[in-house]
Parts: sequence; C-alpha cells; structure tokens
Amino acid sequence: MLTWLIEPLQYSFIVRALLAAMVVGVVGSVFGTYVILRGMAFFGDALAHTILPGVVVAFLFGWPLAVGALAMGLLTALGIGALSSQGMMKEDTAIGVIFAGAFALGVAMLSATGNYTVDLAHFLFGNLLGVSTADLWVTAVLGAFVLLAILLFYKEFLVISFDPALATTLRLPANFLRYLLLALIAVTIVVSLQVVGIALMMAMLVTPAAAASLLTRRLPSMMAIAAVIGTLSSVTGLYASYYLDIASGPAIVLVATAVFVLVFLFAPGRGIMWRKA
Amino acid sequence: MNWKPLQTGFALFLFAGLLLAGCQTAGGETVASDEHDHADETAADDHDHTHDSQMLSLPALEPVDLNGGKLKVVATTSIIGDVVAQVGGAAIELTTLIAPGQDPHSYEPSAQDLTAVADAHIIFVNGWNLEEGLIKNLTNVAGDVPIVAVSARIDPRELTPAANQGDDAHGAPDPHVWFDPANVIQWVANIKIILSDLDPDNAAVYDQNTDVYREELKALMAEFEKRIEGIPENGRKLVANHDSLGYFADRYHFQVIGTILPAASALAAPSASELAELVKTMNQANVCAIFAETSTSDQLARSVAAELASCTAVQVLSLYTGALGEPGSGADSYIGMMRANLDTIITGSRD
Repeated sequence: MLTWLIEPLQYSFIVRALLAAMVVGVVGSVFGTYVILRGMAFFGDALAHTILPGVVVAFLFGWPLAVGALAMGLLTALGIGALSSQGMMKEDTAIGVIFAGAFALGVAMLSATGNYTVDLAHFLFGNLLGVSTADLWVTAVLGAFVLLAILLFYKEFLVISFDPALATTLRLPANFLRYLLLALIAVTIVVSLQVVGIALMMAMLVTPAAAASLLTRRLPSMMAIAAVIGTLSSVTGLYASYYLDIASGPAIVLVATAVFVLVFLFAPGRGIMWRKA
Repeated sequence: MNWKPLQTGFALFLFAGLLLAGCQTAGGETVASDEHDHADETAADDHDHTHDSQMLSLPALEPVDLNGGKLKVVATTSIIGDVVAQVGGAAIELTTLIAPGQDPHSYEPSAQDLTAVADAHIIFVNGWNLEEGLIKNLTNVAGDVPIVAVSARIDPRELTPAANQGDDAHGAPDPHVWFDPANVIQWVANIKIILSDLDPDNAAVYDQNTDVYREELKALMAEFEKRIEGIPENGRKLVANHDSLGYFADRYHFQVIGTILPAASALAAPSASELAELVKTMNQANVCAIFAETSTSDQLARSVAAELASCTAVQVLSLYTGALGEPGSGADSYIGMMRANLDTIITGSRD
C-alpha cells in the first residue's frame, strides 16, 4: 500500500501536480462557495472565453499572452460589476452578455489577423502535469493572497452577497467590495486556467462547493467542507490518473463529480435517498 | 472602520498579484539548440541554405550511460514516431505521445505518457511550435532531457504574414515540412546524428537503418515525380482547408489557389466576403476539388462546394495532414500516408 502511494511521487512533475491541484482545490473550493451562492457558476467557463481578445491583442503587440489574458479578465470583472450594479440585471445575465460579445470580438480579431497560430487562447490553457516550479510558486502566492483577502473581508463579502440593504446601513463601501470580489475571482480563474487547464479550474470552482452546500447552510463550514472535498478529489484523482492512465484534469473532475453525486443522494436530511426513507 | 487605507492597500496588492502572474509565462519554451558540427551530413535536397532564415539547429549531445538497457526515445506526433522508428529500429525503446488519428491540438497527455517523458534520454518534436499546446508541458516535465526538433537544418517556407504587421514582417515558419519527402530525408539524417551521439555503440545499426529507409524515401519521391508528371501544369491547383500544403505545392509545382480558413487557427472563421472570393477564384480556375483534413469538420468546404457552378461534380476530399491513419488504414506509416494523400490529390485533380 505504502509503495503504491509512494511510487508516483518519485517523479517530480507528479509532486508538482499534486501540490498545484491541492492549492487550486482549496482556493477554488473556498471561492466557489461565494460563486455558487451568488449564482455565478458559469463565470469560469465564460472567463475562459472572454480572455480571447486580450490574448490576441497581446500576441499582436508581442506582449506576454498571460498579461493580455489577465487584463481582459479584470476588464470582464469590472464590466460585469458595472452592468449588474444597482440591481439593473443579475450577474449571470451580465456574464452572458459580456462572454458572448468578448468571445466574438476575439474570433473576429483572430480571423482578421490571419496569422499562423493554432488556437491562441488554448495555447494559454495549462495542464496539471506540466506545472513548472515557477507556476507552482505563482499559484501558491496568489492562493495565499486570495485566502487572506477572504479572511479579512469575510463578513463584508457575506453581507454584500446576501443583504445589500444591511451593507448600506453599515455604510460599507459596497461597490468597492463587489468589484474586489469579482476581480479576485477573475484573477484566480485566469491564473488557474494557465496552470491547471480549463476543465479542472471550472470544476473546482463549482463542484466541491455545490456538494458542501448540500451538507451545511453555514458559510464557514461550507467553505471548510468544500476545501476538504476539493483536496481529496485532487489527490484521489491524480493517483487514478497515474494508475488508470487517464488525463489528470478529467480524472480529478470525475472524482469530485462522484463525490457530488454521493452527497446528492445520501446527504443527511437533504439527500434524495434520505427524503424517500 | 476606516476603509480608505485598506482600499488603497488592496488595489496595490491586486496589482502586484497581476504582475506576478504576468511573469509566469514570460520564460517561454526552449528547444535545445547548441550548434551541431556535422557539415558532411547535408540534406539530399537542393535547398539554398544561405539566406538569413528561421532555421533551427541541431544540438551536439554527449553519449548517455545506458546500463545495458536500450536508448529511451519519445516522439510527439505519429508521423515523427514512424520516422524515428525507421531509424532506431529494434535498438531503441520508442514512446509516441500523440496516437494516430488524434488531433495534436486537443491532445492531453496522461500521467503515464509523461512518466515516459521524464524517464526518456531524448525527446523529438517537430519544431516551430507545431505541438504548441504540448511544448510547455514537455519542457517542464522533461527537466534535463534534451528536446530536439527533427526539422532542424530545414529552411522553412514562410506563411503569409498578417496584413496588419507591416511590410518587413516575416511570416511565421510553416511547420508542415513533411509534405515534401525531401525534408523527411533531412529528418532522417538529423535523427541518425542524435541517436548515434547518444548511443555510439549502436551507431552502425542506425547508419544501416538510415540507408535502407533513405532509399525507400527516394523511391517514394521518384514515384511522386512520375505520377505527378501525368497531371497537366494547369491542372495542378489546390484548394486546402488551411495553409498546410505549401511544401508539397512548392516541390511539385502546384498552386494553392485558396484556403477555406483564413488563419491556421482552429478558432478562426472566414468572413462572408472571403468565402465568396474563394468561390469566384475556384470558378475562374475551374477547380472542382477541395482538400479537407481527416481531423477537422468539412462543413465549410461543403458549403463552398455547393456554390461551384462550373463543375459537374465537386469533390470534398480528405487528406492526412498532422497525424497518420489508424493501423490497417494503409496510411499508418509516413510513406503509406503520403501515398494515400497523393492518390487523393490525383483523384481531385483529374476531374
């Protein structure tokens, strides 16, 4: 058993993958609780597409593609914040409008440049098994920064998410906090896209938090449970990928999905099976 | 609570995070490139190697300690894998990452694939970013394992540069070099040098395999010359899915009169006017065949085909471009694939 656990770890790329998956698992899951409670589950997929024009512009001017992607990710967050401010429309509607427009802009620009580059945006998407030491550091530092922000503004984020009226009464800078939350989520998504790829990023942002939300209603325990599910899925999935010879991102996502299905069926008090009994 | 300093502080922090994240991909990919000194091993083609080009060089490598085992070799695409197998034969242990018929762009390596990379003595890639999605991962996993471009010492043709990049802009090098068999003869020479450098004990084996395979490639070229002679010059016009047939067209005096996709990007889509222009060109040139690819959708090609008034029957034919065919398809080796492609091109040009 022990050799079974240790064997893959002789490869340094697997150790890096394990660490990166755990960081993304924890950070994504914790952030994911805000994401699912605000009804923004679609944000990750949308951002993966809206960064395209930023990437094309960066490519044309010879800048690092990651800078274009990040700038576009932040712009998207600001745009969503602006469109959905004062309750003019829901955030998911704003995401949908910006997503479609930005992606189309990117494809139009790509077609107009006519240069040889196969799928510029996809070029940015990482693969968990290809994580470099530098990637790992960036992810870890960003992860720590994001968790610190959540720790500091935990109450404020909670209030602006669920009780905007109370936020006004408390004279919180609600707009600043809302933009900050959106920007933090956007930066986290864009960076994790480049480190671990699109499938894993999207799943970690939604699935563990969704499972946790079926187990508890209290936000702190929801975050903790989501983080545990995220981490466990990462580790189990990576071993499955090694021993069953399947791509790592999908393996981790499938484990997280399996956990979600189990919770959905058997969650005490709320699960399908529980209700029937 | 006083919010002002906190707000400023966080804005700064966010900005720092941005910078940090921006730096991570600045490193870029590296392909081993110390100059190699094998002046006697010139290509069997007539390329002029003098002008300033984007030619890649071949590194000089030291022998590795094999401990009685075989040289462990990794190749990215199935086409490169086949050519490496021809040179290495039974003397090497070869792992090909991208399976036949699998699109190189959607390929995701599994953990086992990458353990082969980490354990390898040498990794062969095409060069000029053909496997762009893979290269970054390869470099990170490979560590000290040298990554060598089989297309080293081939003078690349340039893809048409983007219209908005100024007059002195160079087009990116066209990576589809294997469409000219003469370039694959250069691949073979490169692969032989690298394998013999790493594993001098088997140099004679590599030499012999190379001689045998080079003769087969030369026979393939002679066969191509002969069969293409039968096509009249004005019938040698191609419409391709994207700009991938340039090397073939250059060698055999074909003209690529148009492509369906404006860029080689899988995401790029043609404008309505570009498609209309292509239909006009094809009608004028009386070209009635479009060469699609086995790995991508031919939906657009079919809609163009429906517009060709001057043709009695329009053919949308599939070429093997970036990957070999499945085992048993006849196109499961480089030579088989090129023969299948030539058959297809001749069918399309006959009309």
